[in-house]
Amino acid sequence: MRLLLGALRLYVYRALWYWLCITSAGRALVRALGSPDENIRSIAGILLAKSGIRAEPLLQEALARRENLPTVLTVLGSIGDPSLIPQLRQFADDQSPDVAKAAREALKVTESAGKR
Amino acid sequence: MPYKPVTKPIPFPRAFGATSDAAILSQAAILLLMEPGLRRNRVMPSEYQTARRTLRVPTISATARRVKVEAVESPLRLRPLSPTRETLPARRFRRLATDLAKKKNPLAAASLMEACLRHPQAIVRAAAALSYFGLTSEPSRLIGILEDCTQSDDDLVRAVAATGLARLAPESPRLAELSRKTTVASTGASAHTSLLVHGTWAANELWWKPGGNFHSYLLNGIRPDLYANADAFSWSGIYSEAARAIAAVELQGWLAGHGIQTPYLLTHSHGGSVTMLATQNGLNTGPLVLLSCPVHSIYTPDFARTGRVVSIRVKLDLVILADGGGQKFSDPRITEHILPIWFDHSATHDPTVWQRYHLGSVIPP
Repeated sequence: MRLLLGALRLYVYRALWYWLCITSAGRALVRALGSPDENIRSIAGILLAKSGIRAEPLLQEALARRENLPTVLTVLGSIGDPSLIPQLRQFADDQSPDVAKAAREALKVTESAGKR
Repeated sequence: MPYKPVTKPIPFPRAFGATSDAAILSQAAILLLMEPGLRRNRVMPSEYQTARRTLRVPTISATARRVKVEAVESPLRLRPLSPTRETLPARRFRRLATDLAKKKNPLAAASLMEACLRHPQAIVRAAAALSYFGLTSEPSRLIGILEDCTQSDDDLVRAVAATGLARLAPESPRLAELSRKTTVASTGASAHTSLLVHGTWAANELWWKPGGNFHSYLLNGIRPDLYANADAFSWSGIYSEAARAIAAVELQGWLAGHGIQTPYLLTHSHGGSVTMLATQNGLNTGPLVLLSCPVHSIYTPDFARTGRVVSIRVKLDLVILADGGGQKFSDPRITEHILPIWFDHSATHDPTVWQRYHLGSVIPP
């Protein structure tokens, strides 16, 4: 039941942010990428990825705060916006190996999508 | 001689004042749990959080700046690291740990880690090298320590050091040597090697990696032939068709590079989509086990190239709901096994669920 309520909360956050432009709800969605529950992290990631470039400002804020970095970079890779390539490159040599790897993977997918 | 199993770990800072096996392994665990990269990653698995509490691992105030080696070596009167290793007595570690418990700052943490690079026990040296990588101003010095520790006679020391090298210096020639050794050893059984393929967002999760809970569960009974080297296959975990297409090609390349033909594939979530796509690209596989795999019409296996296909899932998987995929495969060539569990996408890679529902007998032999 806790999982169901947690998932429903994410859908509410997404609706408040996406349709009513309530930024704090969007930030709550980004924070959920750091949930200890794998289900919640996955649903938050999918909802953000499906929001496309609309989610980019929120994710860029998280990048600046180094919040949930590998996952945020993976969501940005999922969006695949070529205009983010310079930003992704900044993290490709990050001191944290997980962050650097996530950035390189996001770059690879984004660059390949840009070529097609 | 391997370390004795630890039933009661010794917390920080007391662990650094003793020399028993429990103390040595506790020291290594404390150092690994202090790793800055791990602390920065807020998706810290709950077992780590429990371990941090049990071992009373100090939380160091975050800083973007690395600690200069000379700021640590000079006050501690340490000789620079060299092939002729300096070894410090136990009392030095106890004093530095007590100091860190009081100050909890990066300099005190760096002092303990720098000293631990000169610890008499290789497991502590390897843990210190791994943890110190993100904090010291000269991280390249630590690669040599990890490479040296991969020569240890102890499996645990070798595993920690090799895992560290794979993360911090994947280009290390020592890692290639280790990998070559194990590949040659497993070539004879390559036709029957099993492989675990993770899903979206899971590239940094622990459960599927060698040593992770689900990997260990499978390896120790269900699939003893499960690939267990440090360079296990991983893909980006990015949520897009492009990422899955790239991953499918990478999977084929990885299998070819490791000389593994017709692998037995256990996959979770979109890891299943990746493998099905790989079969469409020409990959031949043995049995294919799909755990919580979303159903999309573009991801179907090439049945001429796969063995038996079994899908194991829960009822109304919430992550698949968000994904927009179907929950049930309609192709009769895919055997469906539905667990009496609702909503939980991760339940299918939970060892307790596998034990409770005897899933080892559900998957193909």
